[in-house]
Amino acid sequence: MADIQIQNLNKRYGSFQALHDMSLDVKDGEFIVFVGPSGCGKSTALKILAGLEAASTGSIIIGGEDVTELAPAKRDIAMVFQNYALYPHLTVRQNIGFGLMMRGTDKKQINQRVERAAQALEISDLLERRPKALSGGQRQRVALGRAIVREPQVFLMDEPLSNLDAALRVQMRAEITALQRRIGVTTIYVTHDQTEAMTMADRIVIMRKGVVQQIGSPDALFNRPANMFVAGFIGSPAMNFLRGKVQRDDRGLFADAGGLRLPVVEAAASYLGKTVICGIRPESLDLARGDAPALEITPTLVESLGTEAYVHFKLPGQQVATAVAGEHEHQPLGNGTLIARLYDVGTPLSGGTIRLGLKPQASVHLFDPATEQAIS
Amino acid sequence: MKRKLWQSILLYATVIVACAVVLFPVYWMVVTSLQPPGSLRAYPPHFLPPDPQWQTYIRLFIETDILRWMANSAIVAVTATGISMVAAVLAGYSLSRYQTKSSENVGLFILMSKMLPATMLIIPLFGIMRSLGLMGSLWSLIFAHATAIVPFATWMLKGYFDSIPNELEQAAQVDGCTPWGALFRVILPVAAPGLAATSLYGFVLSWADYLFARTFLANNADSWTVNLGIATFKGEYQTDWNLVMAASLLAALPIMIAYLFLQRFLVGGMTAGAGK
Repeated sequence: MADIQIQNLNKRYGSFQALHDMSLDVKDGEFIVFVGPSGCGKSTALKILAGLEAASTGSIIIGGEDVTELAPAKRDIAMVFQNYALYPHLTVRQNIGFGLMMRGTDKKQINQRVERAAQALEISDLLERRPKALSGGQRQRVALGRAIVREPQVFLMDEPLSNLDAALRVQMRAEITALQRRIGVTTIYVTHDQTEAMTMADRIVIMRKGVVQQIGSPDALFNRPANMFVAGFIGSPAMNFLRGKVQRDDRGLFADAGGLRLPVVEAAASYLGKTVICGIRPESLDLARGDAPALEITPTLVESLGTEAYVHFKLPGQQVATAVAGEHEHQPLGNGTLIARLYDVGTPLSGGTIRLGLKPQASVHLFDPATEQAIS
Repeated sequence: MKRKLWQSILLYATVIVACAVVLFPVYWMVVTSLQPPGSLRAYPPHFLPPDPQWQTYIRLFIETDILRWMANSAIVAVTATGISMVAAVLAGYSLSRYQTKSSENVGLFILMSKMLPATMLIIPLFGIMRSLGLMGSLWSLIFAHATAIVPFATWMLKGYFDSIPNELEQAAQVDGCTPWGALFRVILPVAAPGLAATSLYGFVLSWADYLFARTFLANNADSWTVNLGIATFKGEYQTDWNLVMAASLLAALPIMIAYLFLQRFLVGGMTAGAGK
């Protein structure tokens, strides 16, 4: 177990900069998730940490030792790959014990440790099989076994669940989290799936185009996103963005977004009379009661999930098309569609016009339209 | 899915016809080797020799140096294949894994060299062998065959290495291997079917050669390979076709045996190299 310091890490491939000045301090035993869309540099960062790619500039310190120039074998790390990377010519037992064998551990001890790891992962009965005779979930467990058996200082995991079906993914997600908590090894986990990031991480590092956008706990990222990208990426369905004009009346500062009165923080006072971007989470919207100010909308699609319904709608002239939408795989209909997540709707919604208002305790996130940074 | 009767009949008939076309020359080689020279041109031909002449094979071993020729062929084929495989494994692996601006051009250059006909290479190779003092030595043939095997073997192996995910050697490196260790402990064992198929290809190419052997070894009877030796059976006025066929059958045996042993790898190797 060890802490990790990543200092001003840069990676260039010719003229393309894959990683911009990344810095991060990881505490001993922490579970960190790198998340972001494809091509954001998260896997590159992980490979540099593993020593499989060289950093262009910057340094990596693991457990107080500068490992930037060290070969992967000398970093005392273990890695789980997206496609598991099990050695097809070796049995499960040999796969798990390979790293120990390479380090000259004696045979008896290798066997004991392999069997202990296999027991922990419930794969003891598979030890004499070859990888091709295993299911996806079993291969995943073998890959984890290969990582834990060495008792390394750091675990690195590169999208280890993305090849599993949905049900197994949820199960393995919980198992990996429990395993990490039990053995307490510092872990860096890469995924493009924000649900995985939110459910597993102590802290999330959210990246875009090689630049770290925000580092924080899942709650902090969800409740206090630093910019529109983070706001749009974290949360499913994604946050809605509307244009609103900052105004003040006798009840205080608010943004007027298409007739909806959105109470805003006092920090937005400097934008008085100007247009800002208001971020509203789909679950912050509800059917408007009485004659309170509301958005009059005609649903373009209603997805009923039993206890809740996703109401898709458009607000011409009001909604904001963001780059985030295109990069967010959970954005159901791409740019330009807004979503309300309504609970206990009761009557069917399709067809006519409905009125949507803001829930009483809901928060509105404000962003500068030019910089896309949060106003707070 | 159950096949209908007529489908089965059609399938088996096709297989039998295909086998007959492929195997008839071998069968005819056996029949010819067992007939006396006088009845070779008999009409109608004898599909089963009425009086098999087994002594042709005894003559082959007593009157000719067939065993030495076969030993020479084996030495040349095994050594040339071995040298070629070492070069081709390293070249194919680096072409597959270390992509640089020049690697594509180098790869194409290697492939292009294979497109040159052997008759074009033979004159410069002749000059090189003579200046190295290797004329008449088995080494001349070994090096000449290696120049022919390496380009194709490199490309075949590059294909096999391409089909092995990079993550395997990355995992091996994280597990404690050096890049060389990852190649020898993980990649080569995984590529075993490809190595077997490529080696067999190299072996057959070398074993079947006549042109290079005729050019470099003709003046030294001690170094003759089996194909060169068999060619000497052809006389100016008369040829013992039964002896030629008996020797040819013997010459084909090592290849047939190698195929029998390696066919499991060959089929596996072909599919392993075909797709991801």
